Amino acid sequence: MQEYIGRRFLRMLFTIWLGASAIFFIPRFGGNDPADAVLGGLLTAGGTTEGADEMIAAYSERFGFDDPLFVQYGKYLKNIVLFDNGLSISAFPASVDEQIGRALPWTIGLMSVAILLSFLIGNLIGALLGWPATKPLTRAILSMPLFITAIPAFMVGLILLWIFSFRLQWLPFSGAYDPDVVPGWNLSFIGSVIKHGFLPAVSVILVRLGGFALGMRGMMITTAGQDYMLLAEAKGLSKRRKFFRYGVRNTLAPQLTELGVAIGSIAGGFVIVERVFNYPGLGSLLFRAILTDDFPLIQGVVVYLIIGVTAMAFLLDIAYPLIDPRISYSKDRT
Amino acid sequence: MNADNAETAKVNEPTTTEPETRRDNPWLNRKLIAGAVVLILLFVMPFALRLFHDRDLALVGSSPVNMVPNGFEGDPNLGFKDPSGDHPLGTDSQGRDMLAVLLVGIPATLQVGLIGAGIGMAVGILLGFTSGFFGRRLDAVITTVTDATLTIPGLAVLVVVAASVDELTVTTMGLVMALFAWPIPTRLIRSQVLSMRQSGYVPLARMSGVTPFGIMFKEILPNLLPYLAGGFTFTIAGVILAATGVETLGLGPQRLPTLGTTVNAALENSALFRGMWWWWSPPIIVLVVIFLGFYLLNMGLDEVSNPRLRRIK
Amino acid sequence: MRIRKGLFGIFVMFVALALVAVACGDDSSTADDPAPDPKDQDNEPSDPDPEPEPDPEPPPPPDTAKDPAEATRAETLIVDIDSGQGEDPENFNPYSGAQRDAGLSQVLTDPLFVLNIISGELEPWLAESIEANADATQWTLTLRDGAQWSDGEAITADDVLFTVEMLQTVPELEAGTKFEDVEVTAVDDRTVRFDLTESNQRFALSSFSTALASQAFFVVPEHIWSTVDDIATFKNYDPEGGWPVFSGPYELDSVTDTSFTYLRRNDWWAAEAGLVPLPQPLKVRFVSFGGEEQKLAAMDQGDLDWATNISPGAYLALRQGNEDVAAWSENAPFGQLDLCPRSLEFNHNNPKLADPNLRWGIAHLINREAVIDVGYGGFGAPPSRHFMAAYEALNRYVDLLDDAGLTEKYPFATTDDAMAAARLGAAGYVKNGDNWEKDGERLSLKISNYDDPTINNLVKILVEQLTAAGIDASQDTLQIPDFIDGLLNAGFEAYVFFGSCAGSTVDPWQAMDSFSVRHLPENPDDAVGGFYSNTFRWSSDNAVAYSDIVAEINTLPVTDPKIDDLFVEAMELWLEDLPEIPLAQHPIIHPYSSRYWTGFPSENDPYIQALVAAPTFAKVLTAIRPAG
Repeated sequence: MQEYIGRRFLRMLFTIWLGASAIFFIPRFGGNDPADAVLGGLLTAGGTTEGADEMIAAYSERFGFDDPLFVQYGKYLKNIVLFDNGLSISAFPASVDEQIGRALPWTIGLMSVAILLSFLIGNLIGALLGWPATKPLTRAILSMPLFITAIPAFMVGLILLWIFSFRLQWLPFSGAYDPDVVPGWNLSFIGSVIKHGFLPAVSVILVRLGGFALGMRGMMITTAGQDYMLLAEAKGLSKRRKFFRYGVRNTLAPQLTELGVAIGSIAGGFVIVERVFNYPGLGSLLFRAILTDDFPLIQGVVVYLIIGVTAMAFLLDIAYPLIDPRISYSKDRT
Repeated sequence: MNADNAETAKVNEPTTTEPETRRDNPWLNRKLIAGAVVLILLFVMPFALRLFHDRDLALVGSSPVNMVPNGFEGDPNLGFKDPSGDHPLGTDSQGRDMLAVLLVGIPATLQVGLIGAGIGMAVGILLGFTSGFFGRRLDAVITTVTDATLTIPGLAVLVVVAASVDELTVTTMGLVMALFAWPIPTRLIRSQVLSMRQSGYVPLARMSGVTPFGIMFKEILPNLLPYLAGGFTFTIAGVILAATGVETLGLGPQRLPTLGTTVNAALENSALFRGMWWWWSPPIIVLVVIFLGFYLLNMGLDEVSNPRLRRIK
Repeated sequence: MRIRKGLFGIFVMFVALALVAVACGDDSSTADDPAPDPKDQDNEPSDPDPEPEPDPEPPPPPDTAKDPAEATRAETLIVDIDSGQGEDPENFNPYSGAQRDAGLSQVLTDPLFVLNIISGELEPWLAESIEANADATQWTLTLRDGAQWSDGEAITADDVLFTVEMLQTVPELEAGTKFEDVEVTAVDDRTVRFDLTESNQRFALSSFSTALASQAFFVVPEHIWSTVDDIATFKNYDPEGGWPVFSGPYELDSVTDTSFTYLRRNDWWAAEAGLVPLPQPLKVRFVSFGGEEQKLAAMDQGDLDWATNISPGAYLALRQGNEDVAAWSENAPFGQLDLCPRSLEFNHNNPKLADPNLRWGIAHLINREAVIDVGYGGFGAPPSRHFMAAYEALNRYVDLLDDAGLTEKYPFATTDDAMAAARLGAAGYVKNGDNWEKDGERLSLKISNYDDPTINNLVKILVEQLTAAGIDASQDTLQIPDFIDGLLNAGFEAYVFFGSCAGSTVDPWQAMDSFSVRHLPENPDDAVGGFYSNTFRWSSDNAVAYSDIVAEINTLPVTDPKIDDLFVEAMELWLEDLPEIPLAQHPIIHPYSSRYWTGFPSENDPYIQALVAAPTFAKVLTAIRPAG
């Protein structure tokens, strides 16, 4: 068992290294001088500065952009290990971690609610669809949300935004909370946060539940045909008990692995959803970092995303044998 | 291309069908046919309509700006011009004819999907077969890299990549999207190859002296076609989804429109607030239709390759 | 059956959750919204009857009894942040990392002078005066008596001295001027002397002009900043300790990721000294709403009083549905003209583009009316007559060119195929079929731009026009930092930008100077020092002669009549070469809503320019009053 966890942990580190390296080298192929980012805001404001060339040189030196690439890469890997991503360029002198720290709670909060709900609702729908005893009418109604699965979350978000914010004016169109509420544990703030998070969360849930539902449906069909279901039938167990104890429970474990795999793409898609709703999380931060060519910030955001996602996948993977007694740690699953 | 795949797969149909479903042809699946028809129509229609409508009107400044679609009235207070009849779907604020935008944008969007998914699929087949067939060390390496890539939030990385590409075209967009299009096909194919290798006839073929490549291409590949077709449609839909997302952020081909860049242009110019529904809704409706088409096709193929799914109908 | 019930239960729960969410949200807004009216009436007994006509009298003295922290919506002014969501809201170092247009330059600080681009005056504010000696090599700045920091310390010459020396010695700092080659001395508590190595008649105008937030000179308190080790990383933020310490009419209350809230300081020195009345809004909040669409919706719903940079089409849609909304002018282009007219610019280091005939040929191929029509979404913007902004004082100079017959002699605004063919022919190009070629190679032009909706559109239509005319034109849209890289390092062929936007509002010199060869580095491939430092690399014989005249102009005071002739002489050299092609005047539409506040500057009441992101904001603050 320890060996399994160890191997799985090594794989997590490998994933982080692979992603982190990609995100380090790819922007550098563009051949831009990252230190130019310091002047970004000034240009759009129509401003100028005297001695821009000296300023850029001073920043290049401060950030070590003149060092050979492998030296920069080494420093970068070291910083990841130390969980210290250094200073941001476009927001100099703010540190990257400080900015991520401000954005992270929003993303984690919204995303975990969205993932949890889409997983639960999706699996429930899928299980019912795959369950032979489900009535055709229920089946038809339940199949409907599955079609939305085909549409990207940000597009569902746009449509919801148009209907509920612009036309009906029921829900806010941007931000994480109203500018006039005081952040803290008070009712108006929490209400404001829920109100602002509602549409982004719903657009992710609507799109994501289908994937889980489809997987669950397939698995449920298989399970329903198993011998032990016949046995349960013979024992005269109640329908509900059969459904949950024999049906759902036996299919949940592989679904959790699917969840581990899906987290990455949910997190990726979230980048665009946040942008559509102007939600102040990691997605919006990443987009701003890209617009300002802020290399340290781009790297920091993506690396944290990767670490978060791989850690979740790792935890789900080690939890897997605990949930499904048929699997033991000794066997390497495929 | 999907249709082609489906055609070739049909030839091998007897080997894939299981006895209990032999009575009706699994390829006559309603979802499969509906999806295929929708997509073929979308693919063919722009080419047919080009005979009647000038595609160059998709270029900026080729038409009067802010013209409402035929059958509607303009509003001088908002700067919307009455329709002239030459622009059935109206024009946007950049002087593009919306019908021409669709005629150019639909094939461009599908092309990005085909390029990205084509490469992703090719890589997937190569790696999946190698991994599943030769096993051992090679398998361990490929599986590890595939799983690692799957876990990485691809879209976040793609946005960064698209932003660092100098001049994005439909082709480079497809190439960029291919970066994350291969792991899912690889995984899918690998597991199928594995299960086939263990099912009796591969060892049998091996004993009778067929080379590994012979087994791979003559025995395993034909049996996998429904899976490959399913994987391919799934990957195209995924690539189009990713590409549209990246384009909606404003990172897309410049001169000729795609559906995603049109959505971006509409958002950038506040079409929602200004009530220019004829600007943002056509690309979104078409995209929804495309995604639904692929969804149906994929569901259909799924049912073809997994007879159990059919049984409960 | 049971299962379905269970499922239905979940569904009902979900709906209930949604309703609770919506209701909660409503709670928070209803708690705030109806309150203003009754309270408002209690607080403003001095203004019982609504006045239909604008009141020429100064507004009633504001009520200082109420705690600004208790301000209602009607007592709060909500302003849009032009640059959007900032990178680090907890940074108030105006020279390193702070978001300067989120209140820092508008309400937190006092400018030394306020530049009124309508009257052309440099109005004194924190400073009392600035005087030059006869040959403009020595400038003497006098501060107001009684000016105070928010922590009660007096503002003295030492503070100015410290700020200037800091800008001179820390290269990382970002400022409109860094006082290169200037020696600064504190003569006494209120007097600062600047000794220049060369005569500069425009020293005060270029160093202390406040037309733009990003170019403003902010005096910092020496007693705090001198204790800081690394000024480049100093954030100047410590709400517990009363930081940031500045001298403006408001102090920082709180920040979030997207909003900055400031409370009025009833003890603001300028009001106590009787220079200006205390502003009426108890609270000012700067908010970033995201994209244009979000700003529009916020304004429509009364959550925003003053928005920035709205496109003409969107402004019309906003005004259509909301009678409270107005902008600078009633009719198109609705906004004031930007300091920065848009033009098609060329990199003269590129031998192909160094030929004036080629540039003239391209100018005759372009149909500027069509370019502007598309670039501005069908709502038009005034075409440029010149590389300068079309302000009244500057237009006088352009009229001189008309009088001298230069406009007729050099008609760069004329679209004419025959004239274009003659010029391109003179540059060695022949038309082969549809295409212009030289030595069998097709004439190509790659136009770069930074990512901005209007400029994107301008370049797109330019590319289409040039392509139709037989040139292999293409567009390269870059992220801003990449664009800066190309701009400073001569990395483009052509680009649409505003390279002459150096701050000319009343006097042509600054704009003219942006074409001067004095900015060029010794090695032609090295970077230039700024966005308006001859990024064109214009260095022909004409350029050298032109630069000499520009240098001569700078030895004359702004009002010297001799400038007129020199201007015409320089411009003839410029027009002959046509280093760039002027395209369009950019209108800045900053709509305001009179739902809560009235008295914003407009064409009919032009007491100051209606720029949101400028230190001139202080003048607006002291002029606006509650609506109704």
